[in-house]
Parts: sequence; C-alpha cells; structure tokens
Amino acid sequence: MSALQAGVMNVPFVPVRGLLGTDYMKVRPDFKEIANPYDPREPIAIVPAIAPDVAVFHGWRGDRSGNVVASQAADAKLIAQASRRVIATVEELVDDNLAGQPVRGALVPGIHMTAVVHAPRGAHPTACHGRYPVDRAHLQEYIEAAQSDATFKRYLDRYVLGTGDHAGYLARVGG
Amino acid sequence: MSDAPTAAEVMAVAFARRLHDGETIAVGSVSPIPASACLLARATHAPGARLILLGNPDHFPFNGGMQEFYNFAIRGRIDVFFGSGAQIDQHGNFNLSVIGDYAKPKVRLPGGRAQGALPFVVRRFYLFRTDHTRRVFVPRVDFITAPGTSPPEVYRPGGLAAVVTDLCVLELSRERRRLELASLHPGVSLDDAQARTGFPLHAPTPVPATPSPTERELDLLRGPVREELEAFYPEFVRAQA
Repeated sequence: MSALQAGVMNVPFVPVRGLLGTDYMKVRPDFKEIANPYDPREPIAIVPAIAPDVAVFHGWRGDRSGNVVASQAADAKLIAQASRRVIATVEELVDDNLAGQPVRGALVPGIHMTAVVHAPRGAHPTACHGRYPVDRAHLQEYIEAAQSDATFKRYLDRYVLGTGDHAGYLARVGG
Repeated sequence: MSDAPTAAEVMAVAFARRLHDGETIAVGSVSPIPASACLLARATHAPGARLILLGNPDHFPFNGGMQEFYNFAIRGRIDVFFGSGAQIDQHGNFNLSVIGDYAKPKVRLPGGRAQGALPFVVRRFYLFRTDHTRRVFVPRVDFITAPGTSPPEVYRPGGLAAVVTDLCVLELSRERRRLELASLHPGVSLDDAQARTGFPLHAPTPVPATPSPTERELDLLRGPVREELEAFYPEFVRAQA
C-alpha cells in the first residue's frame, strides 16, 4: 500500500515501518535496509514504488463521465491514481453524474479512468459487497483445478476461453 | 446452570479480559473468536471500546479505504489487533506467509506485507489458534512474517503480547525473547499442552488456570454477542450451534 502511494506520488521508493527482521527482507532483494538520513541511528526499510501499467477493478456503479463508485475496501482510488491505464468493470451504468452525489463507498473520479465496462456480476466468483456473496462452490472448483496444469487448462477452456464473452461466462456458471 | 463452556468461549473470555475500556481494537475479516471477545468486552467492562471490524462497512469508521486504516495503524493509533499464525515458534516469531520453501511453497498463505508491519506498530498484537498442535507450534517457523522481538534501534512501539489457543495462553517475554505459558484452560494439563507443542514450554509452578467464563459472560456470548456476530460470520455461528 505504501508502495502504491509512492507510485501515486511518482517517487522511486518509500521508507516503510516494520519489515526489518522479517524474511521478506531475504526473499525480496529489492527491499533494502538503509540508515534514516535524518537520524542515522535508526535503521529503516525502503521498498520500490508500484506504478502499474494497467489497473482493473470492479465497482458498483459507473457513469458516462467515467466516475465510478466502488467498495471502500478495494482501495480503487489509490490503485487508479498509481496506474497509467485504468479499467473499471461495474455492476450498473447510470445516466446521472455520480460526482455530485453523496455516495456510500469510494468515488473514483472519471479523470483517472481509461474505460468503464458494464459487467453485471463481474466480480464472480468473488463477492461484490451488498450485491452478491462469494460463490464458494465455484472457488472450490477453481482450487481443485489449480492443482495441475492439465486440470487448470480444462478450467480455462470451460470458463474463460470457451465462453465467448461475459454473457457466455455467466450462462456457464449459472448466472 | 448453563452448559459447560466450549474452548471457543474460554478463548473469547481470555481475550475479552485483556481488552480495556476506551481502547481502539481492530479485528480481521476471518476472526470470529476475537470479534466475539470485543463484543463481549463492550457489553461488560469496556463499553467505550472502539471496534473496527475489517470487511464490515457497519464497523469501519473510515472513508478512505484500507489505506486510511493502514496508515492509522502505522501511526500507532490501534491499541489491539488480532491475527492468526500458521506457524508460531518459541521466540514468538510467526509465519502467515508460506509453508515450505518460499520459492516453491507447499502452501501459500494469505499473509501479505501488512502482516510485516502491523505487529510492529499495533500496541498489543494477539495471535489465536483453535488447534494447538505441533504442526502450528514449531521450534522454528519456515518463514518469519513478523519477528517476536526486535533490537532496540528498530522502531517498534508495539508487538506481540500473547497467543491464545484452545489449550492455553502463552505470553511473550521481551526480556527473555520467548513465549512462556501464562495459564492452562480448565481441564488441560501441562503434559497435554507440552505434548502438543513443538518446543519446551516455560511455565511457572503451579501453572495458573485460565479464568472460567462466568454465567453472565456465557449468557452474553450465547445471546446478544452471538446475534451481533451472526450478521458478520454466519458460517461460524452456524457451526457453533
């Protein structure tokens, strides 16, 4: 999250609390320990910024100016600002401008958006808070399919490559 | 008389009694026992405790997403946070990242970077396990998601306070850099606990008993707390029934 914040600010790295003494410092050579330049007695970890080329997130509603309302928990506004291109899929498209309205959730201003895509149940098989819960049976199927390349290929053929489009996917999963 | 308390109820009460009035307490999205403890504490001795239930918009007092919560925690504003360690070792190091080798894991766990920061800044970090076994309590964790203790020059205003399991309460001694047995739950012997722990248990003699839930605590846990919890963890509440 700090790394995304650094991406939002267009700085190359960010000092973060914690991490020192954890094995993340061993498995991530790009995480480094430095002396705080302002108080050299203090060691502190730095991590490189994250600035994605493309971000995709799912929201509740989108309007024709690209404004999107999403769950607070998704941190969509942070991700949208850090990324070069931003695609939101939404449960519904509305004609009213969302920017001037009181919203429950997080409003991501259209200025950050590259495209808004109407995709009802687009978060499936995960949950869309307030709309539909996690599809546990499907996730279980996914987990089992992910055990080997052969079963995973069958999963992809059945639910991704072989469905044509989003409507085809929803029909396949019983939507 | 109510039915005898379950292990989950003993754990909830052990946690509830460690929470104080006026504290800010955060609970993860898959932590029903700590959540019951918070609701119980609020219904008894800590009416002014502030609860943050991650994943529940009705108990999430921020409007800037997880980022706002995370930064709030980093600034040391959270008194208590609960986590679950997949592996916990004698030095209080815990692993919520990966079982086996990091590059070729047997199991990849959900612990992310936040678990490498929150245990440094949250005043009291508690771990819970409902299955106290040698698989969990290991001599040495496969991966240190967060260390039990840190050298004095590292910024660490908070840290691990205790581990509560279905058998006992272990507390971290910072001076001795190790977990020590603080109490055994009713009906659990030191031999039982030791047999299911993969490192030597350091215990006072005699070992104190974890306080049994009172009738009032049990009534609250089985009544209003359970009702409030049901909206958040329906599957947990069903499994308890």
